[in-house]
Amino acid sequence: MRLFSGVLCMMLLAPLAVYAEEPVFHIAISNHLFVPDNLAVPAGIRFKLVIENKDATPEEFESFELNREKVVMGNATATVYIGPLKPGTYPFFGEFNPETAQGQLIATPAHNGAQ
Amino acid sequence: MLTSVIIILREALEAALLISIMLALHQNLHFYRRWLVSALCLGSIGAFFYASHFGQISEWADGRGQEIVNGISLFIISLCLAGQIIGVTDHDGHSHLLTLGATTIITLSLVREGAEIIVYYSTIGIHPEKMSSMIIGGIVGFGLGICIGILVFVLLSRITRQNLVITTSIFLALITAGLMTEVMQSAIQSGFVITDEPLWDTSAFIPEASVAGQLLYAVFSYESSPTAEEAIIWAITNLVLLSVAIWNHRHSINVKAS
Repeated sequence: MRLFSGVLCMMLLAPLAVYAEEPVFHIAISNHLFVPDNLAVPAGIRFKLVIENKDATPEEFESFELNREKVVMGNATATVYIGPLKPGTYPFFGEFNPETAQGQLIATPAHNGAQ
Repeated sequence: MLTSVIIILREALEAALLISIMLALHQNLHFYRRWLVSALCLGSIGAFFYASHFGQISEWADGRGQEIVNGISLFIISLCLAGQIIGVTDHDGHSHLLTLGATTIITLSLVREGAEIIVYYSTIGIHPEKMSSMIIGGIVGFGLGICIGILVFVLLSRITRQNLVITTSIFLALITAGLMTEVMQSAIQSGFVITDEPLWDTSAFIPEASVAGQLLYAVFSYESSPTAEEAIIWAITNLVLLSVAIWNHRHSINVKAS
């Protein structure tokens, strides 16, 4: 029973420990454009991407390659967890304004550090 | 305009496919289909409520509100779809439960898809110059989704009862497995589940952005680069529900023969 409790505690606390170490990267949406539209991120580890929508209108951050989809309301911020990614280029776009809102994450093995 | 067509078609197609399959099944079982009216009303009210509180709900649980609402609603839809497959053998004994399940499936689907459409159209107030193209695009996208739904319903209606039950059960099993992978995807995106790198990448053969990829996504929640967790939940759901569907089919053949 004690062993079970210990394992359970470790299972519950392990993700919290991981949260604390994860690098955080930021992008903004301004005038229906992603700023920056190219963002270097580390391959092989999970990280947090914070998307700040500076426009008054909502936007949907979407990427088929990253398998991520999230609505970011106007003048609001949204967070998505991404990775671990294999090295490569991962395009994303704003579904509500796909003609202008385009960008990509460039995952490289080197540690780029959080922005 | 094309953006509006694509956004509305993607949302409408998922709901239209579920409605047409559920309607064809329930028509064949000679159930009352008034549940559709209840589901359409409840789904529309729910979609407006969800859309009008989208900002606040998104802030829940340290910004994980959208994923939590999506994950829970998709999980309930999946359970109800599994209930349809399991309960269809003894459909007379479970008619109320099957009807309640169908109402829940369509209501929650409409809330999810409808809220996103309403959030998208809320931009008209800020960009009135886009109004005509967004409305025309929306009508075209919605119309296309309805047409595909009607086509599926007409095709399914032509199948005999025994074959219809197994056909719809197989479709519903595949759809449920796809929705369960979306539940997992919500948990991964919100950081509740930690994954490894994707198992494979089929985007070179069927890109998700292509027409085939979008159709496969609408029906089976196609994912070109799934993680191990998504692949496992997809396989287990399919294994269980397809086994039940085949067992039910054999059972009904045996009952008919005896």
